[in-house]
Amino acid sequence: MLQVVIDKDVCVACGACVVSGPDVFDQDDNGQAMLIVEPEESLREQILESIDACPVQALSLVEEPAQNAA
Amino acid sequence: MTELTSTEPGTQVRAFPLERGCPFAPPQQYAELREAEPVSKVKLKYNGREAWLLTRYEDMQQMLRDPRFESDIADPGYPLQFAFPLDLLEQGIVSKTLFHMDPPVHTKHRMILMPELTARQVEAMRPRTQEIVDELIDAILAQGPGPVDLVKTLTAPLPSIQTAEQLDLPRDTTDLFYRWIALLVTQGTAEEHASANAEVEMLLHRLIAERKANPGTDLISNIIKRNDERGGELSDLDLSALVRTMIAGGHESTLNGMTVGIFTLLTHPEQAALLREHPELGGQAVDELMRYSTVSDHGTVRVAKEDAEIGGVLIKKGEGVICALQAANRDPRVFSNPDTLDFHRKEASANLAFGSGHHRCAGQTLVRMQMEVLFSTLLRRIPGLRLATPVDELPFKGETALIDGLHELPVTW
Repeated sequence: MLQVVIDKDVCVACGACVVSGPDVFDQDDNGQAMLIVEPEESLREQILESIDACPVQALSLVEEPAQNAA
Repeated sequence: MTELTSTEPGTQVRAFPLERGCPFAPPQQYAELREAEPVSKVKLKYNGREAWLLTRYEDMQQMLRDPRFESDIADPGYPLQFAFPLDLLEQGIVSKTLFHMDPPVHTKHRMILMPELTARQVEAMRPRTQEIVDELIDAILAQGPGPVDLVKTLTAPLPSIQTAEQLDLPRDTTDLFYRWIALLVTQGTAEEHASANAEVEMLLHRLIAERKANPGTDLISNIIKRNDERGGELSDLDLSALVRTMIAGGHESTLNGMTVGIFTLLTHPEQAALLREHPELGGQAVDELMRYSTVSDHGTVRVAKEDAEIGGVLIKKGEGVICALQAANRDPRVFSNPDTLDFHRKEASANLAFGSGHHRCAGQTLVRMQMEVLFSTLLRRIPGLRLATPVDELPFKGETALIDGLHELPVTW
């Protein structure tokens, strides 16, 4: 399980994350980044691309410990 | 401890902007500086003041995201490159635009505008963009096989029509806005600046007053409403400055990006053919064209509000910094074979053509969409399109222009 953190105090609503990660991000009514899905492993590449694309480093990925891993 | 250097005696201070060999390629010295002296001192041709020039991608990313570097145009260290009417700001006749604000004020103002430019809003505009492009191309084709000037018939009207519709501007205002923006990005006398600014300001105040009385569904009405909902902190002068930002972006920079983008397609027929056959590469092609043909090279500037180190060099409080975005977008540390145009390039979207940090272009989603529609439709509908003039005879917007471009782009088919 991945956790994506969006810092809304920093986000400047440019929409770069939506271009890089259209399956993960959209913009809310303010134009700021929002998640449209539960971030899954299969979306890791898009998430990382969006983190790189964000001009203000408002996005970050937190790896949650796999509590029930086999 | 790292030894920091400041202006070393004997270090060469180059006149800026640097000489261009080919007007369609970055100055050759950018590549040399990027390797040998990535943070170098330059002397502005406009006023003889010194500033720092950055030529590496990483250094620009770091500087543009660093709050110690600000955009305050009234600061004496700000690297001015043209006759900006500072007295109009001081006298309170015009308000600063987003370009010259810093957080937290910048954030407050920007967030009044940004809901108008979300990916969803822009997607909703795509069918109309397609319609405008098709109508303009119909008119071009009706003129026969040319030569036709694509600036006059396509790249100038497209963003201008769409901006006018988005803002519900009166039809007869286009010439005024062109005259004003031409002054903003080139040289001009203080009187010319003052007169064009006064005219624009009067028109926008009239429009704001009208929309307050009779709100519509246009961008101006929407930002007035949003400002009211958020406590009405922005004055009419501030709202007018936001509208000016939209109009400036919707004319000169977009039109030049489109013109130079088409020029680059016409001079790279293999890549043009690739895009014609694979329109699904449209978004990536736009990113790569923005990277390869970055029209706004050195308009992205800051002034240090505190001492700060960039690329191992100490930038002192009060010193100006200029980003050579064309140098960043050809940095081989980020883009392999940077001088090759390649629509399959995966890292193209990392280009800095739209800037970085909190000043990242507010209209980037809109411009990308417009360019995608324009380039793919043009290549599909006029497959035999080619230049009607030898490249060295094309009227390039000169060295004094802050944004690269062409006065005319004559084509035939």
